[in-house]
Amino acid sequence: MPFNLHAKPFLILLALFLTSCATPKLDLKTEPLTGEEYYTLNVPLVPRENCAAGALVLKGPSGGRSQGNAPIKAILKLAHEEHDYTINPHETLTLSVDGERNRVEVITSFKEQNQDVENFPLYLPTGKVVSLGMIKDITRRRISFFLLPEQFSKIYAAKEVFIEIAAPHRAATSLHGYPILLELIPENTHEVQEFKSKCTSNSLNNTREEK
Amino acid sequence: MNTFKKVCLFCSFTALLSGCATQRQFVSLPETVQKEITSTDAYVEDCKKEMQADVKSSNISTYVGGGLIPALIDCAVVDYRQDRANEAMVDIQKEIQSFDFNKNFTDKLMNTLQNTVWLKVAYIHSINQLDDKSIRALVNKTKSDSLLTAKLRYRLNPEFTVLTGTLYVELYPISPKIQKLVNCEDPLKTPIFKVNVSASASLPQVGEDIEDNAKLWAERHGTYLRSSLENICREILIRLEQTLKNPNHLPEED
Repeated sequence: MPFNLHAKPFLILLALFLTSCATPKLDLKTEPLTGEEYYTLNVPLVPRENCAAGALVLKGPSGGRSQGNAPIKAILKLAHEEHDYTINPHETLTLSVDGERNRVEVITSFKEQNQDVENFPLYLPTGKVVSLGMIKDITRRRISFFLLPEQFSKIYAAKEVFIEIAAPHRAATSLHGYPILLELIPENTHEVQEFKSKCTSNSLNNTREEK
Repeated sequence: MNTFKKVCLFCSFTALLSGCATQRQFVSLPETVQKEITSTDAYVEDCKKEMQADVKSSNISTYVGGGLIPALIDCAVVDYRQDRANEAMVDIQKEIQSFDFNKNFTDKLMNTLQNTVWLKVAYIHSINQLDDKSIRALVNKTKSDSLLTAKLRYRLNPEFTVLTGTLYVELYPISPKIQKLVNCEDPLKTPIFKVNVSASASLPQVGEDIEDNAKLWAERHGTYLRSSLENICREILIRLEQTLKNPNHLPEED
């Protein structure tokens, strides 16, 4: 079912929560255990089929420590608007760049059932305000995988980038339909290129000064 | 149950729910730490022969903006649902007692861990119980660079239609060399690697309520339950192997 912004205002909040902001966000972060610095790029994806919201997170080392042939670490974040406890072992993840389909190997796949609360203030005639809540069941998913350098370099020159989660027809036992389809819109692909250049060039000091 | 107990139970339940929501399912092992590990002691907990079940939370207090009475109603509803789920699972619990899938799974898991080159497993053993107290005792006893613990839990969803098994794997820093690398003060609070690996099985046909579904799981001496648990264990081991090949993927907080 296509994502309908007017019909589902809750999904807007959900999408904002999931992606933090509507535009790609490049951050310099610190590894909590070792203190090593790295870049992350959080790119919002447009949900096209069978999911409510999505984002792609990329991670790369800072200060030009990235090796040219090293795969890029990536996480696909998804949200479904109901509680889904099923885990389909036959799922496949495919990256489609300008019609060229490449299956990527999934490293980890997590599913977490949560509830999101949306509060509405109710103004009483006495002047008091009562906060009423609306609860929505959601399932958040995180699928980690690697992007090969050749796949990665095609993304920022592409006109159409889709990420698809599919399952063989007989194995599609999940409550949710397949395929799950998300689009990386062309307006956001130039940020991917900037992320790549940050990871491969020695620009750490520049970034610190900018901050 | 008196009012005070109900309020305490509700608070605990709420705290548990919020804890579940924020619990990290994956902690990435930094490459610099991975290279420094020269030995690991691994402990695998014997599989618990006990089914657990999630229950749907009651949200009346959230709908009406809080208050003691709605909280008590929520508490009573959750309490009732938990009792009902426990009663419905009686036959399932009996069937599980007759299964013996522990040894096969533990042997294969130990094999997987020993074949993980970077772990450099020096010692591997099964253990009856893995909780904070026993893990702390193992931390004090271990002489290796790191300590790995693994335990399997399985539970039904609130509708009893999906059975999910989850293997909880954690790696703690033990030697001063590794602890210094990660600025560790308490190894139990600073796992250097963690992953929860899950697999699930669904009922092929669904009954009208949890009692019906519990019967479907337990019928014919738990035939479907048994095969589901075996499939879940097999799938978990496949996924674990895949994850252990790439322990330093993106950290959970990203």
